[in-house]
Amino acid sequence: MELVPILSTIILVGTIATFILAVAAYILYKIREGKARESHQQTGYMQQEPHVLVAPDRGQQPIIQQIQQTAPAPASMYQPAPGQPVQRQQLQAPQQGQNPNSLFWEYTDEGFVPVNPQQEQVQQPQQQQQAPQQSQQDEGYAWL
Amino acid sequence: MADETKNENQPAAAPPAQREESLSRTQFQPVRRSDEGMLGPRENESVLVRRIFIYGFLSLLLFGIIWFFMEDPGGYLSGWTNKPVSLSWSGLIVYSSIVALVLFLVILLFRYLSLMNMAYLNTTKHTIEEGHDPNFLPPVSIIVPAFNEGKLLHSTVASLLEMDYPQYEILLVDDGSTDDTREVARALVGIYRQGAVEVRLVEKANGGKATALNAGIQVSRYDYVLNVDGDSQLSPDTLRKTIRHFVDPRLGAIAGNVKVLNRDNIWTTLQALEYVEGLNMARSAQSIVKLVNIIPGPLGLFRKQSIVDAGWYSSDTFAEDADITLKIIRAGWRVEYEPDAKSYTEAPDKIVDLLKQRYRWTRGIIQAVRKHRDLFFNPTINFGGTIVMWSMAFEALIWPIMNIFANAYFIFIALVFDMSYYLVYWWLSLTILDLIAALYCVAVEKEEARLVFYSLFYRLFFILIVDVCKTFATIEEFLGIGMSWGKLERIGSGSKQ
Repeated sequence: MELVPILSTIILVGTIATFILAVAAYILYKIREGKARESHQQTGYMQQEPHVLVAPDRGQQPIIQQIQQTAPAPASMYQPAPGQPVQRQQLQAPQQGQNPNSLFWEYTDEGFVPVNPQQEQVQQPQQQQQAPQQSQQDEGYAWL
Repeated sequence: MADETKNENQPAAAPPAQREESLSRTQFQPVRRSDEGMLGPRENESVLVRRIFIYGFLSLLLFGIIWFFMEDPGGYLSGWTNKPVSLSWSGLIVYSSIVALVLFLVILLFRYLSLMNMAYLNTTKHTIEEGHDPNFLPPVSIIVPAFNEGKLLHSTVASLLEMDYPQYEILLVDDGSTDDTREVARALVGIYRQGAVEVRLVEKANGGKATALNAGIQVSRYDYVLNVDGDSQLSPDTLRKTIRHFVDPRLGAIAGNVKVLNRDNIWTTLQALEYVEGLNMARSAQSIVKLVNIIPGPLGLFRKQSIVDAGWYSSDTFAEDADITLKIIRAGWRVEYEPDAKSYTEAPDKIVDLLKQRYRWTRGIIQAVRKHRDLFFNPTINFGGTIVMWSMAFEALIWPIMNIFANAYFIFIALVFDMSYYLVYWWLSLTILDLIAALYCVAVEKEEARLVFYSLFYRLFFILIVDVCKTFATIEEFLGIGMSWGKLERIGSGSKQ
């Protein structure tokens, strides 16, 4: 048998079936949507209702929260695409980023410790930005 | 020591009484959007109905003329031409089929090849580009709007806290959720990574995603805002990869690379292919001219000034991401795409949920296009905006209808005139194009090779279903039929991992 008639039959049947499936699914969606709209009253949005900002109290020492084992660890929750290895960089607190293989050493109370120059570059702007951040907070959100 | 560091980086719930004492509460008024001037007058429904009747009448008239001359009852044609009439039904069908096939294929070929060429240029530029300034690491505010995302919010924040970036804040916005989102979010408020990251929460009445994003941006502290969805998970280097582009002062926003997280059935796998081939390739192509037309909800980094210039997010369309992008472009800012900034999102795994999502996308995009329709024929407002509008109109309106029409036409001639081989040629041509595009995209994005196999069913099966939904959505939008946001049911695959 020739290939084209077989292929054409398969594609014809497939296309018609897909059309029917698409229209049926669409009708089903509209029926469900209609039912959902009937059962759910739209929540009225009050444009002028004030929002509430919940923030940790900056006046106190930084709150370092302890992990509870009831919540799964984020490292295992993060899921790359299947079969696609995603490079996961281990996060380090800036103070602890000392690289033992570094060529740069700094003298501290504990003697010479290795220093990562890249980390220093990162820390520097961070420290500079800390000051304006505090002042912005004191002024509220007046910039708007 | 390492364990302690890890604990500090991870969100956790403290006892409620202790937490209430350590949290401060501030009330603020929501920002007013300022883009009302961009809104054109809504068309009256009666005008639309009248228009449908007129076009219907004209179509019938045209059909009647063709019918009249086809039969040639009085020999008029023969009388005019002094030749016997050669126009017959079968002849007309054969010729029009060939013309339709060739015309559609030329348009398609042009679309695919231009997209692939531009995407290739952009990828090459991205690969050979000189390294950006490594010291350009300004602090960033990450806005996470959430409505009933209680299942996934914890894992989203956890992935954000793993970000490899020196300083940022996370602003969760609870948009009046009815599940436990607010409690989950309150438990996440705190200071992490020894002061480098602060998580805050905005509690507000339900008002839609646009108002939630506005509320978050309003209280954000920094000049750059990263908007992510409450169900998205970001790769750790996303911020570093994205922020470097903002060295260019003309850049307003960067669109990220959205990928499907749950590829566990045919629907989600086909969507994974669609995201890679249909969406990301197009964004990559648009990025070469700095005119990406939609910054996706799951990942978009903005210069805050560009959002203020655009008049903030608005709730008058169901695709606030398309609307804000058009507004940013028309305000004169550039919009680019960063393929290495990846966000993993949960795709709908049932056909009805898929249609619900596509229905909202289609109507939202059409609403955004109609809202900015003055850009269509007036390139003096913004030339780039006019190009974007035409490309959006083609992708959202013309292409789905063209695909449906072509399939319906080839089915018709196969059933009535027994010319089913045209359907094979049509399918074969499209599938070869899809196969080439899928191969290219999978290679460029280092995606799963099995996605290439799915391109065989992509056109015949998946795109046809989506296009039928898009066509119905288009008709309903132009008829002005009401719709709701249509919240998707989340199964929380991200938090199950």
